[in-house]
Amino acid sequence: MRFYQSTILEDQSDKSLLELCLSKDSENYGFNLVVRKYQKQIYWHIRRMVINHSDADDLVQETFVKVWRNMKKFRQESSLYTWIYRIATNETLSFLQRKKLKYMIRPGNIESHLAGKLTDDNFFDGNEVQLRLQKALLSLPGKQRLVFNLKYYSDMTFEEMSVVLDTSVGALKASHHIAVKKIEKYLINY
Amino acid sequence: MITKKDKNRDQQSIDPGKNDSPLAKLDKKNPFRVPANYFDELPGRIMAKRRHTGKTSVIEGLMPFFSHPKYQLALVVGSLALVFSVLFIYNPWKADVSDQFLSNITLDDLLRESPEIIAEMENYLFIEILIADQTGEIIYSTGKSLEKDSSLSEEDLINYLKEEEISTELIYEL
Repeated sequence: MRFYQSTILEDQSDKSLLELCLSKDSENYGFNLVVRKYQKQIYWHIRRMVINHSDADDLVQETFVKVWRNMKKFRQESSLYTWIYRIATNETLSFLQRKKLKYMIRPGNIESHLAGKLTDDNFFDGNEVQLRLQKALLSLPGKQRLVFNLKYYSDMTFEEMSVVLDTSVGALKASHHIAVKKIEKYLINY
Repeated sequence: MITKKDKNRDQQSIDPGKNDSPLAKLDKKNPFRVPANYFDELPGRIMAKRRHTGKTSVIEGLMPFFSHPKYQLALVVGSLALVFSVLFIYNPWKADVSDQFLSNITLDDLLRESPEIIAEMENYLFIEILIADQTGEIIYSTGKSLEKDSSLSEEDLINYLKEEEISTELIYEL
């Protein structure tokens, strides 16, 4: 049944999904299909950035509510997939910024707070090496971590990333290169 | 359209020696997990949240209406008209001039205390003072010199205005 469902979703092009969403008669059905098609990718994208499941759950819901509200304004200059990623990324970066400000007035920093959450989290079941990789990722500045995650886990091209992050391909490549070098250094030294 | 070849080229341009990298030896397995049935229930929760937050206030409901430039202009013009209407009706400056300035201060006081104000007066204000002052005092110039004449008639006034080349229509406008 699930296989059948996912096959239907994969067959639905973004264009036909948008048409369903923009029609008064099928907007709920269309939006439900959009959520089902992209929920996992968006959830994991957010989760890798905020680490904690509860925060990721809130953010993924906020992201799709925003997608719904702005669906009529979407001008289709980019693909639906990159547009949703962009909204999710902005939501996540704003969330991390708010957290950062909160931790500026407390001892410690946001990175060490998130690293602590990794080991406390009941929903983290990676092995020792994966834990080290996540800690290495948390030692990176937010944008570098984002670029690395999009490339490494989401397998996104730099061109797609350029649309999502509104940054030039060259800058993204440089950012990714630096991120990889820092992670390699971390993994060798720790 | 991004092809597999492009993706490989991207990867190679950044990380040419990737086989030696500690990252290459790592399993890409997702170390995080989610509660049971999370992705089955998430769409329903999102739809419910959307319905809940979809109830907009009256102001939010009107926002799309005012997002159009034509209506924004109408809003600005309407607001300005309202402000000017209120100012016209209540006119706080007018109250200062007519109620306090003219009824509580005589022309002598005014000229003694603030001759520069008289000097700057426009003709219409000068005549307004003349009519408002029931004592018969009159200013023969716009404040540069002053003479009193208690028996001044309207004819004298008109002659004076003609001599000074000031339009006599002003007196009928008052």
